[in-house]
Amino acid sequence: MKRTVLFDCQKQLNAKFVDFHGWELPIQFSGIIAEHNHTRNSAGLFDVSHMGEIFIESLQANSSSAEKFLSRIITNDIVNIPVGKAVYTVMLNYNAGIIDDLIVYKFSADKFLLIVNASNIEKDYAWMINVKQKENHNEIKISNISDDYSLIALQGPKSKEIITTINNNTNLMQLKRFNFLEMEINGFECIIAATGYTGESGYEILIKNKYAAEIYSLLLKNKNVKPVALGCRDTLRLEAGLCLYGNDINEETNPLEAGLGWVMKGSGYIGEELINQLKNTGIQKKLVGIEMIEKGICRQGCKIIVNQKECGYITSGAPSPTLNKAIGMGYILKEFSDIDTEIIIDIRGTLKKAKITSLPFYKR
Amino acid sequence: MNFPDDLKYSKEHEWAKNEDGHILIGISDFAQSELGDVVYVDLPTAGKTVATDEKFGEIESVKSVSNLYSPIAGEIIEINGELTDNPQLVNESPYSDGWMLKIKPAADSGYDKLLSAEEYKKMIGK
Repeated sequence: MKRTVLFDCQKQLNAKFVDFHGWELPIQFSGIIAEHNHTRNSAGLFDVSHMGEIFIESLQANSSSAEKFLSRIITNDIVNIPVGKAVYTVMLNYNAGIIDDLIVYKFSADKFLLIVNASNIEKDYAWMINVKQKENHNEIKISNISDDYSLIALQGPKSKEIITTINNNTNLMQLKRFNFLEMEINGFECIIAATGYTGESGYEILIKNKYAAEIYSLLLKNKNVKPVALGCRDTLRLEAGLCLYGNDINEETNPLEAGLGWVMKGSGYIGEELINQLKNTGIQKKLVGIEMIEKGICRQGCKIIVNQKECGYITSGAPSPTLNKAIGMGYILKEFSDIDTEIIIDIRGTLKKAKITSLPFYKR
Repeated sequence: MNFPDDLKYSKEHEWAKNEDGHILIGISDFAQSELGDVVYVDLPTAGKTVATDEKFGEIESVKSVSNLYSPIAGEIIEINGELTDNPQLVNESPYSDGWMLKIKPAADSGYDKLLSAEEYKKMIGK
């Protein structure tokens, strides 16, 4: 199994490890609920170095070739956003199915960084190379640098206070959500973005592998920071109504069904015609929030039943530590997707009452 | 980790305690630690009979669902209703407040075949 460069640090911190798409990663340190609450109330430090990083650059300066290529492969608008900004987007196949969801950092019209899901690195890279060759984007370079970089995420309401004790750079103190900076932390070059996957404010720090352990340990010295892991990452993102690739979105789902219409601001991207058609004809199913009424926890794969008929399925489900009830997301036929519709969840043969709720479940 | 000597243990990580002829059932300290935060315990209703190694319920942590197996045969005469609202008692007090079932053992309940604390510790490598 693959390990991040922080494996030894995490072992010393008594992490419990699991196999996550071929990576041996911590699922928890002190406990999922305690880590969840600590991230909501103070700050949690995640190692998300398993995620992929891919650079797309123009071979010729000032050619915007990278931007042209990227406008083809992602759905969100990266032309009309300023340099130093990051955007959340999806990458579609020719059937408008979601190949991956990702964050794109704009350094210039000639240089972009893509942060992709760990389980999709090879697939995404192969897709990009395929489109580049098929459509003759000969004037760009695609580099998968995933194995050279670590990604550390500091998330929670105290993140800003914590990061400024390490570096009180004015630009960093003023960094707005979904903006990034290239700067030094403790003398190490890094890219720091005000992004995350928890519903809290925070930062994601991209840094060369050889400096990662030092930054990780440095941040952990702050008494408000605790190491947190994949277990609470899932409950935090679910409360925040954020999709998880492989659960809530995949190549069989399209972004309109998934409630991601807001990331379709680009033009000329692969899948656009189908998306426009779908906007006219309407979608059949819809990703909704679900809250259990009766005791029991809806989990991925549970069927959703309305009027004794199966009309959907759960894609993510967990107990919500913040709301103290079981929540989930799932696809349901559009006619049953109204908020407060009462539904039945088949939990391994036992039928339990639940209802449709709006997303997100939690917003700071 | 704690494994009281006066309890018996099963290979499925349940414990059994003889209390005046009735047997209390729960899960071991090792099992609760492996599960992590327990968030839901689904127990049967009293009056039901169970066979040795029969599934009697489910226990859910944040991330997973696991089956609970009865270490002995008999009739369930009481369940720990406290676990409905306070499932974390299984983590906090696996051998006491976190108990699950009280069983009236069958004639051949299998209680004597269960592991001692020493044997159980050896099995889990503690």
